[in-house]
Amino acid sequence: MIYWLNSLSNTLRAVFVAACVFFIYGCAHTGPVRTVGEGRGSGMRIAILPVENLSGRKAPLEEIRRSLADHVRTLGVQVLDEAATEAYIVRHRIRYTGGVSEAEARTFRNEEGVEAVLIASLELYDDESPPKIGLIARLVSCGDSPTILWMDSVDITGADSPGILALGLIDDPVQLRDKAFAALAGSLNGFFEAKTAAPVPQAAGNRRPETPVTGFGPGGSITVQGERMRGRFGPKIQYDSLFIEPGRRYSVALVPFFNRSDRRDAAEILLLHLASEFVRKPNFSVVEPGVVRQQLLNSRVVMIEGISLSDSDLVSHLLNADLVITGDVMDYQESSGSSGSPMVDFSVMAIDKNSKKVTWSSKSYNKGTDGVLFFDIGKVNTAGELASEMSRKVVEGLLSSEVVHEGKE
Amino acid sequence: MDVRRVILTFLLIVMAACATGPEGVYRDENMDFGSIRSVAVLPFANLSRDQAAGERVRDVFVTQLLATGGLYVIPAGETAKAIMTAGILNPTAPTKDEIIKLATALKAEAVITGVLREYGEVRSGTSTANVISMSLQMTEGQTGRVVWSASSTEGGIGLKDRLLGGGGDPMNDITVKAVDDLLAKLFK
Repeated sequence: MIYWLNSLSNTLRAVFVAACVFFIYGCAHTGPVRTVGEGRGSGMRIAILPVENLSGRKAPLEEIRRSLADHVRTLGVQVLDEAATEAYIVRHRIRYTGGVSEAEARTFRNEEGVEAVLIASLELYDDESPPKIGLIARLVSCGDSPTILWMDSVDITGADSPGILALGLIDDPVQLRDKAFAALAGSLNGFFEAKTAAPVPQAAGNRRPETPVTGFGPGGSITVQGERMRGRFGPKIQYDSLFIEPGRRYSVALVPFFNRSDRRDAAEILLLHLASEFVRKPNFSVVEPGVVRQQLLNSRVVMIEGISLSDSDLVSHLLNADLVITGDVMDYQESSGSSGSPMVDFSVMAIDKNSKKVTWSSKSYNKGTDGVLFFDIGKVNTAGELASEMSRKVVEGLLSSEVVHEGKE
Repeated sequence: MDVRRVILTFLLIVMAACATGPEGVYRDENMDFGSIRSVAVLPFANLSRDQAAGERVRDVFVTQLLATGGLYVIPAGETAKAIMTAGILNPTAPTKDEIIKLATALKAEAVITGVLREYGEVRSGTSTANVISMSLQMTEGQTGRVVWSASSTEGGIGLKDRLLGGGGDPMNDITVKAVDDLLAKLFK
Protein backbone atom coordinates (compact mmCIF):
# COMPACT_ATOMS: atom_id res chain seq x y z
CA MET A 1 0.00 0.00 0.00
CA ILE A 2 2.80 2.41 0.87
CA TYR A 3 4.50 1.58 -2.48
CA TRP A 4 1.19 2.22 -4.22
CA LEU A 5 0.82 5.58 -2.45
CA ASN A 6 4.37 6.56 -3.34
CA SER A 7 3.63 5.82 -6.98
CA LEU A 8 0.86 8.45 -7.06
CA SER A 9 1.50 12.08 -7.84
CA ASN A 10 1.46 14.54 -4.93
CA THR A 11 -1.98 15.86 -5.90
CA LEU A 12 -3.57 12.42 -6.08
CA ARG A 13 -1.96 11.42 -2.80
CA ALA A 14 -3.36 14.55 -1.09
CA VAL A 15 -6.86 13.85 -2.49
CA PHE A 16 -6.70 10.22 -1.29
CA VAL A 17 -5.64 11.24 2.22
CA ALA A 18 -8.35 13.95 2.40
CA ALA A 19 -10.98 11.44 1.28
CA CYS A 20 -9.86 9.03 4.01
CA VAL A 21 -10.07 11.79 6.64
CA PHE A 22 -13.59 12.81 5.56
CA PHE A 23 -14.68 9.17 5.51
CA ILE A 24 -13.38 8.62 9.03
CA TYR A 25 -15.05 11.83 10.19
CA GLY A 26 -18.34 10.76 8.70
CA CYS A 27 -18.10 7.38 10.40
CA ALA A 28 -17.14 9.01 13.70
CA HIS A 29 -20.50 10.76 13.90
CA THR A 30 -22.57 7.69 13.27
CA GLY A 31 -24.77 7.24 16.29
CA PRO A 32 -25.49 3.87 17.88
CA VAL A 33 -27.59 1.61 15.71
CA ARG A 34 -30.62 0.50 17.56
CA THR A 35 -32.70 -2.36 16.34
CA VAL A 36 -36.16 -3.09 17.57
CA GLY A 37 -36.51 -6.60 18.85
CA GLU A 38 -39.26 -8.96 17.98
CA GLY A 39 -41.94 -7.37 20.17
CA ARG A 40 -41.21 -8.51 23.69
CA GLY A 41 -44.07 -6.48 25.16
CA SER A 42 -45.85 -9.77 25.96
CA GLY A 43 -49.25 -8.22 25.32
CA MET A 44 -48.84 -5.65 28.10
CA ARG A 45 -51.77 -3.23 28.02
CA ILE A 46 -50.77 0.41 28.30
CA ALA A 47 -52.26 3.85 27.73
CA ILE A 48 -50.37 6.72 26.14
CA LEU A 49 -51.16 10.14 27.56
CA PRO A 50 -51.22 13.22 25.31
CA VAL A 51 -47.69 14.50 24.79
CA GLU A 52 -46.66 17.26 27.21
CA ASN A 53 -45.16 20.15 25.24
CA LEU A 54 -42.09 21.59 26.96
CA SER A 55 -40.43 22.78 23.75
CA GLY A 56 -41.77 26.30 24.01
CA ARG A 57 -43.00 26.25 20.42
CA LYS A 58 -45.87 24.82 18.44
CA ALA A 59 -45.54 21.16 17.55
CA PRO A 60 -47.81 18.55 15.93
CA LEU A 61 -48.50 16.82 19.25
CA GLU A 62 -51.27 14.53 18.00
CA GLU A 63 -49.13 13.32 15.13
CA ILE A 64 -46.22 12.73 17.49
CA ARG A 65 -48.44 10.78 19.87
CA ARG A 66 -49.80 8.63 17.05
CA SER A 67 -46.32 7.95 15.70
CA LEU A 68 -45.11 6.98 19.17
CA ALA A 69 -48.09 4.67 19.62
CA ASP A 70 -47.33 2.98 16.27
CA HIS A 71 -43.73 2.35 17.26
CA VAL A 72 -44.73 1.01 20.67
CA ARG A 73 -47.30 -1.38 19.09
CA THR A 74 -44.50 -3.04 17.11
CA LEU A 75 -43.13 -4.30 20.44
CA GLY A 76 -46.18 -6.48 20.98
CA VAL A 77 -47.74 -4.00 23.43
CA GLN A 78 -51.49 -3.40 23.49
CA VAL A 79 -52.11 0.35 23.38
CA LEU A 80 -55.44 1.69 24.63
CA ASP A 81 -57.02 3.46 21.71
CA GLU A 82 -56.96 7.23 21.55
CA ALA A 83 -60.72 7.67 21.92
CA ALA A 84 -60.85 5.63 25.14
CA THR A 85 -57.88 7.56 26.56
CA GLU A 86 -59.48 10.91 25.67
CA ALA A 87 -62.77 9.80 27.22
CA TYR A 88 -60.96 8.85 30.44
CA ILE A 89 -59.18 12.24 30.53
CA VAL A 90 -62.45 14.14 30.02
CA ARG A 91 -64.31 11.99 32.56
CA HIS A 92 -61.71 12.64 35.26
CA ARG A 93 -60.99 16.26 34.18
CA ILE A 94 -57.26 15.64 33.86
CA ARG A 95 -55.42 18.77 32.70
CA TYR A 96 -51.83 17.83 33.53
CA THR A 97 -50.47 15.11 31.24
CA GLY A 98 -46.82 15.29 32.34
CA GLY A 99 -47.34 12.70 35.07
CA VAL A 100 -49.86 10.54 36.92
CA SER A 101 -50.94 10.81 40.52
CA GLU A 102 -51.71 7.78 42.69
CA ALA A 103 -55.46 8.26 42.25
CA GLU A 104 -55.16 8.53 38.46
CA ALA A 105 -52.97 5.43 38.25
CA ARG A 106 -55.50 3.46 40.32
CA THR A 107 -58.51 4.52 38.27
CA PHE A 108 -56.65 3.86 35.01
CA ARG A 109 -56.13 0.29 36.14
CA ASN A 110 -59.63 -0.20 37.54
CA GLU A 111 -61.61 1.44 34.74
CA GLU A 112 -59.54 0.79 31.63
CA GLY A 113 -57.63 -2.31 32.69
CA VAL A 114 -54.24 -0.81 31.77
CA GLU A 115 -51.12 -2.04 33.50
CA ALA A 116 -48.99 1.01 32.77
CA VAL A 117 -49.10 4.52 31.35
CA LEU A 118 -46.60 5.88 28.84
CA ILE A 119 -45.89 9.55 29.51
CA ALA A 120 -44.03 11.56 26.88
CA SER A 121 -42.64 15.08 27.22
CA LEU A 122 -41.52 16.91 24.09
CA GLU A 123 -38.50 19.02 25.07
CA LEU A 124 -37.35 20.10 21.62
CA TYR A 125 -39.06 20.50 18.28
CA ASP A 126 -37.95 22.41 15.22
CA ASP A 127 -39.03 21.48 11.72
CA GLU A 128 -36.80 24.00 9.93
CA SER A 129 -33.75 22.55 8.25
CA PRO A 130 -31.95 20.81 9.84
CA PRO A 131 -34.90 19.54 11.91
CA LYS A 132 -34.55 18.79 15.63
CA ILE A 133 -36.54 16.66 18.02
CA GLY A 134 -36.14 15.79 21.68
CA LEU A 135 -38.45 13.55 23.69
CA ILE A 136 -38.31 12.16 27.22
CA ALA A 137 -40.56 9.16 27.79
CA ARG A 138 -41.32 6.98 30.79
CA LEU A 139 -43.49 3.98 31.54
CA VAL A 140 -45.26 4.21 34.89
CA SER A 141 -47.06 1.26 36.45
CA CYS A 142 -50.70 1.63 37.40
CA GLY A 143 -51.84 0.62 40.83
CA ASP A 144 -51.63 1.75 44.41
CA SER A 145 -47.99 2.84 44.20
CA PRO A 146 -47.12 4.01 40.71
CA THR A 147 -43.51 3.14 39.91
CA ILE A 148 -41.35 4.25 37.01
CA LEU A 149 -40.64 1.00 35.17
CA TRP A 150 -38.62 2.49 32.31
CA MET A 151 -37.40 5.92 31.32
CA ASP A 152 -35.28 7.20 28.48
CA SER A 153 -34.77 10.24 26.28
CA VAL A 154 -33.76 10.93 22.71
CA ASP A 155 -32.40 14.24 21.39
CA ILE A 156 -31.30 14.31 17.78
CA THR A 157 -30.96 16.74 14.91
CA GLY A 158 -30.86 16.15 11.20
CA ALA A 159 -27.25 17.31 11.16
CA ASP A 160 -25.94 14.87 13.79
CA SER A 161 -24.35 12.47 11.30
CA PRO A 162 -23.89 14.32 8.02
CA GLY A 163 -21.28 11.82 6.78
CA ILE A 164 -19.25 12.23 3.64
CA LEU A 165 -20.62 14.84 1.21
CA ALA A 166 -23.50 15.46 3.69
CA LEU A 167 -25.27 12.35 2.43
CA GLY A 168 -26.37 11.52 5.97
CA LEU A 169 -28.09 14.88 6.51
CA ILE A 170 -31.80 14.51 7.31
CA ASP A 171 -34.01 17.33 6.08
CA ASP A 172 -37.40 15.72 6.59
CA PRO A 173 -38.78 16.21 10.15
CA VAL A 174 -40.98 13.11 9.79
CA GLN A 175 -37.99 10.95 8.89
CA LEU A 176 -36.07 12.34 11.85
CA ARG A 177 -39.05 11.70 14.14
CA ASP A 178 -39.24 8.08 12.99
CA LYS A 179 -35.53 7.65 13.66
CA ALA A 180 -35.93 9.10 17.15
CA PHE A 181 -38.95 6.97 18.02
CA ALA A 182 -37.29 3.84 16.67
CA ALA A 183 -34.44 4.49 19.11
CA LEU A 184 -36.89 4.97 21.99
CA ALA A 185 -38.79 1.83 21.03
CA GLY A 186 -35.49 -0.05 20.99
CA SER A 187 -34.75 1.14 24.49
CA LEU A 188 -38.25 0.15 25.68
CA ASN A 189 -37.82 -3.24 24.05
CA GLY A 190 -34.58 -3.64 25.98
CA PHE A 191 -36.56 -3.04 29.16
CA PHE A 192 -39.12 -5.71 28.21
CA GLU A 193 -36.36 -8.17 27.47
CA ALA A 194 -34.70 -7.54 30.80
CA LYS A 195 -37.97 -7.35 32.76
CA THR A 196 -37.61 -10.75 34.32
CA ALA A 197 -34.15 -10.03 35.72
CA ALA A 198 -34.39 -8.41 39.15
CA PRO A 199 -32.27 -5.29 39.51
CA VAL A 200 -29.21 -5.76 41.67
CA PRO A 201 -28.17 -2.63 43.51
CA GLN A 202 -24.62 -1.77 42.58
CA ALA A 203 -21.90 -2.12 45.17
CA ALA A 204 -20.72 1.23 46.40
CA GLY A 205 -17.22 0.40 45.17
CA ASN A 206 -14.51 2.59 46.57
CA ARG A 207 -16.97 4.84 48.25
CA ARG A 208 -16.19 6.06 51.72
CA PRO A 209 -18.07 8.43 53.98
CA GLU A 210 -16.99 12.02 53.65
CA THR A 211 -14.77 13.26 56.47
CA PRO A 212 -15.47 16.95 56.84
CA VAL A 213 -12.31 19.03 57.02
CA THR A 214 -12.25 21.83 59.52
CA GLY A 215 -11.62 24.88 57.43
CA PHE A 216 -10.73 27.12 60.33
CA GLY A 217 -7.91 25.03 61.69
CA PRO A 218 -4.27 25.94 61.35
CA GLY A 219 -2.98 25.79 57.84
CA GLY A 220 -4.08 26.97 54.49
CA SER A 221 -7.08 27.03 52.25
CA ILE A 222 -8.96 24.09 50.92
CA THR A 223 -10.25 23.63 47.42
CA VAL A 224 -12.11 20.80 45.79
CA GLN A 225 -10.79 19.86 42.38
CA GLY A 226 -13.95 19.03 40.50
CA GLU A 227 -13.17 18.86 36.82
CA ARG A 228 -10.05 16.82 36.79
CA MET A 229 -11.77 13.88 38.49
CA ARG A 230 -15.19 13.82 36.90
CA GLY A 231 -14.47 14.18 33.20
CA ARG A 232 -15.88 16.30 30.43
CA PHE A 233 -19.46 16.73 31.68
CA GLY A 234 -18.88 16.18 35.35
CA PRO A 235 -19.81 18.70 38.05
CA LYS A 236 -17.27 21.49 38.45
CA ILE A 237 -17.93 21.78 42.18
CA GLN A 238 -19.19 18.98 44.38
CA TYR A 239 -19.97 18.56 48.07
CA ASP A 240 -20.54 15.03 49.23
CA SER A 241 -21.22 13.72 52.70
CA LEU A 242 -23.67 11.06 51.60
CA PHE A 243 -22.88 7.43 52.21
CA ILE A 244 -24.57 4.95 49.88
CA GLU A 245 -24.78 1.56 51.60
CA PRO A 246 -23.85 -1.27 49.25
CA GLY A 247 -26.83 -3.39 48.29
CA ARG A 248 -29.45 -0.96 49.60
CA ARG A 249 -32.08 0.66 47.43
CA TYR A 250 -32.75 4.36 48.09
CA SER A 251 -36.06 5.99 47.33
CA VAL A 252 -35.59 9.36 45.63
CA ALA A 253 -38.17 12.14 45.29
CA LEU A 254 -37.35 14.88 42.77
CA VAL A 255 -38.91 18.17 43.78
CA PRO A 256 -39.42 20.91 41.15
CA PHE A 257 -36.24 22.83 40.39
CA PHE A 258 -36.06 26.61 40.45
CA ASN A 259 -35.79 28.07 36.95
CA ARG A 260 -33.58 31.16 36.70
CA SER A 261 -32.86 30.75 32.98
CA ASP A 262 -34.55 32.43 30.05
CA ARG A 263 -35.90 29.13 28.75
CA ARG A 264 -39.41 28.34 29.84
CA ASP A 265 -39.87 24.85 31.35
CA ALA A 266 -36.09 24.37 31.70
CA ALA A 267 -36.57 23.22 35.29
CA GLU A 268 -39.10 20.54 34.26
CA ILE A 269 -36.83 19.31 31.46
CA LEU A 270 -33.80 19.06 33.71
CA LEU A 271 -35.79 17.27 36.40
CA LEU A 272 -36.85 14.66 33.85
CA HIS A 273 -33.27 14.13 32.65
CA LEU A 274 -32.09 13.64 36.21
CA ALA A 275 -34.99 11.28 36.92
CA SER A 276 -34.04 9.29 33.82
CA GLU A 277 -30.51 8.81 35.10
CA PHE A 278 -31.66 7.82 38.59
CA VAL A 279 -34.06 5.26 37.11
CA ARG A 280 -31.16 3.60 35.26
CA LYS A 281 -29.35 2.86 38.52
CA PRO A 282 -30.60 -0.15 40.49
CA ASN A 283 -29.54 1.60 43.72
CA PHE A 284 -32.34 4.13 43.31
CA SER A 285 -36.08 3.93 43.05
CA VAL A 286 -37.60 7.18 41.78
CA VAL A 287 -40.97 8.39 43.02
CA GLU A 288 -43.11 9.22 39.98
CA PRO A 289 -42.93 13.04 39.47
CA GLY A 290 -46.72 13.17 39.04
CA VAL A 291 -47.14 11.70 42.55
CA VAL A 292 -44.66 14.24 43.97
CA ARG A 293 -46.52 17.07 42.24
CA GLN A 294 -49.88 15.97 43.61
CA GLN A 295 -48.45 15.60 47.12
CA LEU A 296 -46.99 19.13 46.99
CA LEU A 297 -50.34 20.50 45.82
CA ASN A 298 -52.27 18.59 48.50
CA SER A 299 -49.88 19.85 51.19
CA ARG A 300 -50.09 23.45 49.89
CA VAL A 301 -46.31 23.64 49.73
CA VAL A 302 -45.12 27.02 48.41
CA MET A 303 -41.45 27.19 47.52
CA ILE A 304 -39.63 30.52 47.73
CA GLU A 305 -36.20 30.17 46.08
CA GLY A 306 -36.25 26.45 46.78
CA ILE A 307 -37.64 23.91 49.23
CA SER A 308 -37.37 24.59 52.95
CA LEU A 309 -36.19 21.92 55.40
CA SER A 310 -39.64 21.54 56.94
CA ASP A 311 -41.26 21.04 53.52
CA SER A 312 -38.52 18.61 52.55
CA ASP A 313 -39.19 16.68 55.76
CA LEU A 314 -42.92 16.61 54.99
CA VAL A 315 -42.34 15.41 51.42
CA SER A 316 -39.89 12.71 52.44
CA HIS A 317 -42.26 11.36 55.10
CA LEU A 318 -45.39 11.47 52.95
CA LEU A 319 -43.63 9.78 50.02
CA ASN A 320 -41.33 7.62 52.13
CA ALA A 321 -38.34 9.04 50.25
CA ASP A 322 -34.81 8.66 51.61
CA LEU A 323 -33.52 11.56 49.54
CA VAL A 324 -35.21 14.73 48.33
CA ILE A 325 -33.47 16.11 45.26
CA THR A 326 -33.89 19.71 44.16
CA GLY A 327 -31.83 22.47 42.58
CA ASP A 328 -31.61 25.51 40.35
CA VAL A 329 -31.31 25.90 36.60
CA MET A 330 -29.25 28.96 35.69
CA ASP A 331 -28.93 28.46 31.94
CA TYR A 332 -30.58 26.22 29.38
CA GLN A 333 -29.93 27.33 25.83
CA GLU A 334 -30.18 25.49 22.53
CA SER A 335 -27.58 26.14 19.90
CA SER A 336 -28.39 29.03 17.59
CA GLY A 337 -27.52 28.81 13.92
CA SER A 338 -25.40 26.13 12.31
CA SER A 339 -22.23 26.79 14.26
CA GLY A 340 -23.71 27.56 17.69
CA SER A 341 -23.37 25.44 20.78
CA PRO A 342 -25.95 24.58 23.46
CA MET A 343 -25.26 25.63 27.05
CA VAL A 344 -26.58 24.18 30.31
CA ASP A 345 -25.84 25.39 33.83
CA PHE A 346 -27.49 23.91 36.92
CA SER A 347 -26.92 23.00 40.53
CA VAL A 348 -28.32 19.97 42.37
CA MET A 349 -28.84 19.39 46.06
CA ALA A 350 -29.89 16.29 48.01
CA ILE A 351 -31.49 16.49 51.44
CA ASP A 352 -31.33 13.39 53.58
CA LYS A 353 -34.51 12.24 55.33
CA ASN A 354 -32.83 11.15 58.56
CA SER A 355 -30.33 13.95 59.15
CA LYS A 356 -32.58 16.65 57.59
CA LYS A 357 -29.43 18.20 56.14
CA VAL A 358 -27.95 18.79 52.71
CA THR A 359 -25.75 15.76 52.16
CA TRP A 360 -24.94 16.34 48.49
CA SER A 361 -24.54 19.45 46.40
CA SER A 362 -23.03 19.97 42.99
CA LYS A 363 -22.65 22.70 40.38
CA SER A 364 -22.40 21.79 36.71
CA TYR A 365 -21.97 24.01 33.68
CA ASN A 366 -21.05 22.96 30.16
CA LYS A 367 -21.28 23.88 26.52
CA GLY A 368 -21.74 21.47 23.65
CA THR A 369 -18.27 22.24 22.35
CA ASP A 370 -16.45 21.46 25.60
CA GLY A 371 -13.60 19.05 24.97
CA VAL A 372 -14.03 19.22 21.20
CA LEU A 373 -10.73 19.66 19.38
CA PHE A 374 -10.97 18.58 15.75
CA PHE A 375 -13.70 18.46 13.12
CA ASP A 376 -16.51 18.79 15.71
CA ILE A 377 -15.85 15.22 16.82
CA GLY A 378 -17.73 14.70 20.06
CA LYS A 379 -19.71 17.92 19.77
CA VAL A 380 -23.09 17.83 21.47
CA ASN A 381 -25.71 19.52 19.33
CA THR A 382 -28.73 19.83 21.62
CA ALA A 383 -29.24 21.13 25.14
CA GLY A 384 -31.23 17.98 25.94
CA GLU A 385 -28.36 15.66 25.10
CA LEU A 386 -25.99 17.92 27.02
CA ALA A 387 -28.31 17.94 30.06
CA SER A 388 -28.57 14.16 29.83
CA GLU A 389 -24.78 13.71 29.83
CA MET A 390 -24.34 16.14 32.70
CA SER A 391 -27.13 14.49 34.71
CA ARG A 392 -25.50 11.10 34.19
CA LYS A 393 -22.26 12.41 35.68
CA VAL A 394 -24.11 13.90 38.65
CA VAL A 395 -25.83 10.61 39.45
CA GLU A 396 -22.60 8.65 38.93
CA GLY A 397 -20.91 11.06 41.29
CA LEU A 398 -23.66 10.46 43.86
CA LEU A 399 -23.02 6.74 43.66
CA SER A 400 -19.26 6.76 43.84
CA SER A 401 -17.05 9.75 44.44
CA GLU A 402 -13.54 10.60 45.53
CA VAL A 403 -13.48 14.07 46.94
CA VAL A 404 -9.99 15.46 46.94
CA HIS A 405 -8.95 18.09 49.37
CA GLU A 406 -5.77 19.97 48.60
CA GLY A 407 -4.23 21.77 51.49
CA LYS A 408 -2.28 24.76 50.49
CA GLU A 409 0.25 26.06 53.04
CA MET B 1 23.99 64.22 51.69
CA ASP B 2 24.97 60.98 53.37
CA VAL B 3 24.10 58.20 50.91
CA ARG B 4 23.75 55.65 53.68
CA ARG B 5 21.13 57.74 55.44
CA VAL B 6 19.12 58.03 52.21
CA ILE B 7 19.24 54.30 51.65
CA LEU B 8 18.28 53.57 55.27
CA THR B 9 15.31 55.96 55.10
CA PHE B 10 14.19 54.40 51.86
CA LEU B 11 14.42 50.88 53.33
CA LEU B 12 12.41 51.93 56.38
CA ILE B 13 9.63 53.31 54.15
CA VAL B 14 9.57 50.12 52.05
CA MET B 15 9.44 47.90 55.15
CA ALA B 16 6.56 49.95 56.58
CA ALA B 17 4.63 49.51 53.35
CA CYS B 18 5.24 45.75 53.35
CA ALA B 19 4.03 45.46 56.93
CA THR B 20 0.36 45.86 55.91
CA GLY B 21 -1.94 42.77 55.68
CA PRO B 22 -3.56 41.35 52.51
CA GLU B 23 -5.53 43.96 50.63
CA GLY B 24 -9.27 44.10 51.08
CA VAL B 25 -9.46 41.65 54.01
CA TYR B 26 -10.73 42.36 57.51
CA ARG B 27 -10.62 39.69 60.17
CA ASP B 28 -11.69 40.20 63.78
CA GLU B 29 -8.79 38.85 65.82
CA ASN B 30 -11.00 38.37 68.89
CA MET B 31 -13.42 36.11 67.09
CA ASP B 32 -13.27 32.36 67.58
CA PHE B 33 -13.94 31.23 64.04
CA GLY B 34 -13.75 27.60 65.08
CA SER B 35 -17.10 28.00 66.86
CA ILE B 36 -18.86 28.70 63.56
CA ARG B 37 -20.35 25.49 62.23
CA SER B 38 -23.25 26.62 60.10
CA VAL B 39 -23.91 29.80 58.17
CA ALA B 40 -26.75 31.32 56.21
CA VAL B 41 -25.95 33.06 52.94
CA LEU B 42 -28.33 35.90 52.16
CA PRO B 43 -29.10 37.14 48.63
CA PHE B 44 -26.30 39.34 47.31
CA ALA B 45 -26.82 42.98 46.43
CA ASN B 46 -26.46 43.22 42.66
CA LEU B 47 -24.92 46.41 41.30
CA SER B 48 -24.11 44.93 37.89
CA ARG B 49 -26.09 45.11 34.65
CA ASP B 50 -27.05 41.44 34.64
CA GLN B 51 -30.21 41.04 36.69
CA ALA B 52 -29.62 37.37 37.45
CA ALA B 53 -25.95 37.84 38.35
CA GLY B 54 -26.55 38.00 42.10
CA GLU B 55 -28.25 34.60 42.17
CA ARG B 56 -25.68 33.03 39.84
CA VAL B 57 -22.77 34.08 42.02
CA ARG B 58 -24.61 33.14 45.21
CA ASP B 59 -25.26 29.67 43.78
CA VAL B 60 -21.56 29.15 43.01
CA PHE B 61 -20.52 30.54 46.39
CA VAL B 62 -22.92 28.35 48.40
CA THR B 63 -21.88 25.16 46.57
CA GLN B 64 -18.20 25.96 46.86
CA LEU B 65 -18.47 26.86 50.55
CA LEU B 66 -20.25 23.58 51.20
CA ALA B 67 -17.67 21.73 49.14
CA THR B 68 -14.84 22.93 51.39
CA GLY B 69 -16.40 20.85 54.16
CA GLY B 70 -15.49 23.54 56.66
CA LEU B 71 -18.95 24.99 57.15
CA TYR B 72 -22.51 23.79 56.70
CA VAL B 73 -24.59 26.18 54.59
CA ILE B 74 -28.31 26.44 55.31
CA PRO B 75 -30.25 25.71 52.07
CA ALA B 76 -31.47 28.75 50.13
CA GLY B 77 -35.12 27.74 50.45
CA GLU B 78 -34.87 27.57 54.23
CA THR B 79 -33.10 30.95 54.34
CA ALA B 80 -35.75 32.52 52.10
CA LYS B 81 -38.52 31.18 54.33
CA ALA B 82 -36.81 32.57 57.44
CA ILE B 83 -36.34 35.97 55.75
CA MET B 84 -40.05 36.10 55.00
CA THR B 85 -41.03 34.98 58.50
CA ALA B 86 -38.69 37.52 60.10
CA GLY B 87 -40.20 40.27 57.96
CA ILE B 88 -36.86 41.46 56.57
CA LEU B 89 -37.65 43.98 53.85
CA ASN B 90 -34.19 44.25 52.32
CA PRO B 91 -32.36 40.92 52.73
CA THR B 92 -29.32 42.19 50.80
CA ALA B 93 -28.60 44.78 53.51
CA PRO B 94 -30.12 43.60 56.80
CA THR B 95 -29.79 45.54 60.05
CA LYS B 96 -27.95 44.20 63.09
CA ASP B 97 -31.21 43.22 64.82
CA GLU B 98 -32.51 41.51 61.69
CA ILE B 99 -29.33 39.45 61.42
CA ILE B 100 -29.59 38.34 65.06
CA LYS B 101 -33.26 37.41 64.54
CA LEU B 102 -32.45 35.49 61.35
CA ALA B 103 -29.50 33.62 62.81
CA THR B 104 -31.60 32.56 65.81
CA ALA B 105 -34.42 31.33 63.55
CA LEU B 106 -32.04 29.37 61.34
CA LYS B 107 -29.82 28.19 64.21
CA ALA B 108 -26.84 29.56 62.30
CA GLU B 109 -23.74 30.92 64.04
CA ALA B 110 -23.10 33.47 61.32
CA VAL B 111 -24.71 35.18 58.37
CA ILE B 112 -22.92 36.04 55.13
CA THR B 113 -23.98 39.00 52.99
CA GLY B 114 -22.39 40.25 49.82
CA VAL B 115 -22.29 42.89 47.13
CA LEU B 116 -21.69 42.14 43.48
CA ARG B 117 -20.10 45.25 42.04
CA GLU B 118 -19.27 44.08 38.54
CA TYR B 119 -20.39 41.05 36.52
CA GLY B 120 -20.21 40.68 32.77
CA GLU B 121 -18.33 41.90 29.77
CA VAL B 122 -15.96 44.87 29.90
CA ARG B 123 -14.64 46.65 26.82
CA SER B 124 -11.56 48.65 26.16
CA GLY B 125 -11.11 49.72 22.58
CA THR B 126 -11.52 46.60 20.48
CA SER B 127 -10.72 44.20 23.35
CA THR B 128 -13.39 42.56 25.47
CA ALA B 129 -13.25 40.23 28.44
CA ASN B 130 -15.40 39.06 31.33
CA VAL B 131 -14.92 40.52 34.76
CA ILE B 132 -16.32 39.94 38.23
CA SER B 133 -15.85 42.09 41.29
CA MET B 134 -17.51 41.26 44.59
CA SER B 135 -17.18 41.66 48.32
CA LEU B 136 -18.51 39.53 51.18
CA GLN B 137 -19.11 40.11 54.86
CA MET B 138 -19.59 37.62 57.64
CA THR B 139 -21.66 38.81 60.62
CA GLU B 140 -21.70 36.90 63.87
CA GLY B 141 -25.21 35.70 64.70
CA GLN B 142 -25.33 36.41 68.45
CA THR B 143 -23.95 39.95 68.56
CA GLY B 144 -24.54 41.21 65.03
CA ARG B 145 -20.89 42.20 64.76
CA VAL B 146 -18.99 42.02 61.46
CA VAL B 147 -16.18 39.53 62.02
CA TRP B 148 -14.81 39.11 58.51
CA SER B 149 -14.89 41.01 55.27
CA ALA B 150 -13.08 40.53 51.98
CA SER B 151 -13.29 41.47 48.34
CA SER B 152 -12.08 39.94 45.11
CA THR B 153 -11.84 40.93 41.46
CA GLU B 154 -11.09 38.46 38.67
CA GLY B 155 -11.00 38.60 34.92
CA GLY B 156 -10.74 41.82 33.03
CA ILE B 157 -8.69 42.68 29.97
CA GLY B 158 -5.11 41.52 30.29
CA LEU B 159 -2.14 41.80 27.96
CA LYS B 160 -3.04 38.53 26.27
CA ASP B 161 -6.57 39.74 25.51
CA ARG B 162 -5.28 43.03 24.07
CA LEU B 163 -2.73 41.34 21.84
CA LEU B 164 -4.58 38.17 20.81
CA GLY B 165 -8.24 38.94 21.52
CA GLY B 166 -10.40 35.95 22.42
CA GLY B 167 -12.91 37.53 24.79
CA GLY B 168 -11.25 36.37 28.00
CA ASP B 169 -12.16 33.44 30.24
CA PRO B 170 -15.79 32.25 30.44
CA MET B 171 -17.91 33.97 33.08
CA ASN B 172 -18.46 30.85 35.18
CA ASP B 173 -14.74 30.11 35.34
CA ILE B 174 -13.80 33.55 36.61
CA THR B 175 -16.70 33.43 39.07
CA VAL B 176 -15.27 30.20 40.48
CA LYS B 177 -11.81 31.84 40.67
CA ALA B 178 -13.18 34.87 42.52
CA VAL B 179 -15.09 32.68 44.98
CA ASP B 180 -11.99 30.50 45.46
CA ASP B 181 -10.01 33.64 46.26
CA LEU B 182 -12.60 34.75 48.82
CA LEU B 183 -12.73 31.33 50.45
CA ALA B 184 -8.95 31.31 50.66
CA LYS B 185 -9.17 34.65 52.49
CA LEU B 186 -11.87 33.26 54.77
CA PHE B 187 -10.08 30.10 55.80
CA LYS B 188 -6.56 31.54 56.11
